[in-house]
Amino acid sequence: MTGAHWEETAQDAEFRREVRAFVRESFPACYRPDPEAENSLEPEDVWGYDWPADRCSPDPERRAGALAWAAALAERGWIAPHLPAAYGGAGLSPMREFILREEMVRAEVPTVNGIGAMLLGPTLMEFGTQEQRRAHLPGIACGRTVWAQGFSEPDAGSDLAALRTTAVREPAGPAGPEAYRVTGQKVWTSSAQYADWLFVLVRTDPDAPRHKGITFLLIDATSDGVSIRPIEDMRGATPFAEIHFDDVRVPVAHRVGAENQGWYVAMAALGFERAGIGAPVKFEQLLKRLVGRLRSAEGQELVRADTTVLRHEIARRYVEMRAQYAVARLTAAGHAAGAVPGYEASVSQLLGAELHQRLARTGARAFGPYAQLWQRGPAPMAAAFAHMRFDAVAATLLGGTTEIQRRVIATRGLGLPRS
Amino acid sequence: MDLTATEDQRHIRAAATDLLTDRRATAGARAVRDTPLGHSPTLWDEMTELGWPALALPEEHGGLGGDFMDLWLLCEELGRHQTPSPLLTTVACAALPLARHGNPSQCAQWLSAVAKGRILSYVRAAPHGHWGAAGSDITATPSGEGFRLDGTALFVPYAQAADALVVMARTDYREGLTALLVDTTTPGLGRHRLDVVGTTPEYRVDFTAAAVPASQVIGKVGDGGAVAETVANLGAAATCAEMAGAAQGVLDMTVDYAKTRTQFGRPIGSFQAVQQHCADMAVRVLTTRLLAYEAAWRLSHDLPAALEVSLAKACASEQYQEVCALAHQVHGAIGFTAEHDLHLFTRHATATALAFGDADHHTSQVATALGL
Ligand SMILES: Cc1cc2nc3c(=O)[nH]c(=O)nc-3n(C[C@H](O)[C@H](O)[C@H](O)COP(=O)(O)OP(=O)(O)OC[C@H]3O[C@@H](n4cnc5c(N)ncnc54)[C@H](O)[C@@H]3O)c2cc1C
Repeated sequence: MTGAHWEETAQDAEFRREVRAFVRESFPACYRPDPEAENSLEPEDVWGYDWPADRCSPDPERRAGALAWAAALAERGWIAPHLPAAYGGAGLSPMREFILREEMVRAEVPTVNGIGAMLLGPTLMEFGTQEQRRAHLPGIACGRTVWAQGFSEPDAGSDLAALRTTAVREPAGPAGPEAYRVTGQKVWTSSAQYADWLFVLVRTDPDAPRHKGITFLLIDATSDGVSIRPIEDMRGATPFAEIHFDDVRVPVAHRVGAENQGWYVAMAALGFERAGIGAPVKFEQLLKRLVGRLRSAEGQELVRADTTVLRHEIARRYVEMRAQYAVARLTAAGHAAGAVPGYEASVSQLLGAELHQRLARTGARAFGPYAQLWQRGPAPMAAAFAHMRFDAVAATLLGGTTEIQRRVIATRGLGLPRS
Repeated sequence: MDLTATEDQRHIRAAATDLLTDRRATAGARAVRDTPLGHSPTLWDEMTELGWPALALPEEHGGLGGDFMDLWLLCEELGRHQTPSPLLTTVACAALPLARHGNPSQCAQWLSAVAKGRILSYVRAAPHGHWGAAGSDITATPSGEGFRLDGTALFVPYAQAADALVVMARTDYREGLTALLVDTTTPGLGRHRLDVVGTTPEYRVDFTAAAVPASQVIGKVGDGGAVAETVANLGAAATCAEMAGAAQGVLDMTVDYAKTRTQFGRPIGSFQAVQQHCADMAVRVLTTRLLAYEAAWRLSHDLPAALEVSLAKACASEQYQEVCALAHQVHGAIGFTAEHDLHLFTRHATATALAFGDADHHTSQVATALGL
């Protein structure tokens, strides 16, 4: 039977088992985080890992673990599973990629090279030259090169087209081949301090209409004139950085797409950002742990007494999580059927971001006064949710604010007139 | 996994849309509200001609051999067009439970009758207006060759139009409920229309020493709980279809309005605050539909579905009402008028939020399923 069904095919179910077995056998034991440690997490990643940082960690075990995990994934082409095998991928269908990601989150193991694989990979496949694909895709797919996305600037966040970092064309000369000289500043660039390469938007025609003077460049992070300074966030972590470009020479061959067409390349790149299956699965795990905790003897002692309200609140979060999961599946199914990405990705992101914040507060509320503890001490789960409350603050901002997601749904999804 | 509709399903939808759009003026909620039966018998005949009541019934009893999903799609369209119809009550709450729990002669008699356009309804297993399948306000006392029924049931949909009712009753000599099929012409059975907020005609049904032969017991005496559960699951899932279709209808109507209504020299849909209301509606509609669809899909494949039904109903009961509230906000005063159709949806949302258990009831079921 063709048509609507929720079950996966026998072959897909087999693939799921294969992924599970692979993770069980290949995930390096030394890379499992200390269960006693209380780590913050980025919304799309899992507990206790920050792969770009881990692979250059001063702790040798952690570093070895991160590298071994990347090597194991790379051998299967599963770092950038959607890329063709010729570039180090596995040529997986969107549904298989979805299953792979889902199982990795379930097993609580980290993504490797998320930004490079998920954003830049498909962008180079569509807009890059043969040269660029050969030069960059294998490094992404084997986990050798880490990329960061430099779009936002101090005065260009939601209004990305207001960006001011400039690139001026310069002929070939003693300094090298024909190049752009890049000057300006980027900010909030996730993991930039660990990146080998950056993909950035720069202004190449200051006189053109805003969207028409922007170019997409690949910049070696070790180039002269690039300085990267980590920024501390409200948790005391440093998930992102600011970048200064001071007369940085970028060969013209590192331009993706035509000059002044970078806006369209960037929009396509953001479109490749898969509607995250990661979030609902992670939320489901968290809910399960919370329930288990509440039922345990220790939990019974720590938890607040008036649990009927809490019971409903947790169940509501579960309903929301299942709804978000259904939307993620719908998006993947549409993608698999070759549908043009609609507004479902924005719906997914919006639901996930707001649910993340509600879930953190629900979880924390369960522990009454213990929810203010930052350290595990007598109340481990309380600390986990106490952390999550602050991790989730950025959820409604990063990757486009929820206001902007609603605007996309209204204008692109529902066809309402632009303001 | 594939969430696109089949050719057949698209066909069912399109045919339903055509008919219901066409009959709106004579059979829509506004047209039939004050009629004696609360629905259009003419439209019911047309639906019967088209095979709607027969669609999901087994072929050996005059059905067309489709599944619950087919019925679900029709309910979705009925909701979207706000067409009151006994289809959901007859098929989801009586005929399909009968097909599952009834004996061969009951099936032979009643399923083919439904396929030919006879209407059935049901008396809930819900003492004192509570939800759940825990008890009944009706007692069945052994008497002669069968039982005598006594008691009063509230909120029996389409009772006046129905030829028979599936009744959940208590027997004092046996634990659990007993399900009985009761002919509405039985002496001692009285029907009184209730004045309710929703668009479905609801009745109070009084049983006063109403005699029912033992042959009309569905399944076994004392095993009616299983029947009640089937009725509740199928009824809730089909109601979620109505709600999802209706919520979609409200969204479409509101987006159209936001594109055409101008204030300050431009369409109100270009104002960001209005766009955000519409975006929130779209999110609510999409999630309501997906969860409702998943529950229905499981039911039509005979998979365990109680949790998914509760997820769907908990979601729909809250979201559909919220969608209506946002729609009123975007419409301004015009949406508050009797002349505008929006209030029909708002009435429907208020009533369906309560049908087969409200959000609190189903949220609690979810909590139980989670082990809380
Ligand atoms: C943890 C984290 C990681 C990030 N990683 C990256 C990265 O790797 N690469 C990168 O390029 N960027 C990154 N960002 C930046 C992120 O994309 C921006 O923060 C985001 O787009 C919002 O921009 P802003 O912070 O300048 O806020 P602003 O744009 O100044 O927004 C402030 C407020 O105004 C609202 N607003 C603005 N314009 C409108 C409008 N038209 N209509 C309605 N409301 C509006 C916003 O919704 C928000 O509520 C990251 C941010 C965070 C927090």
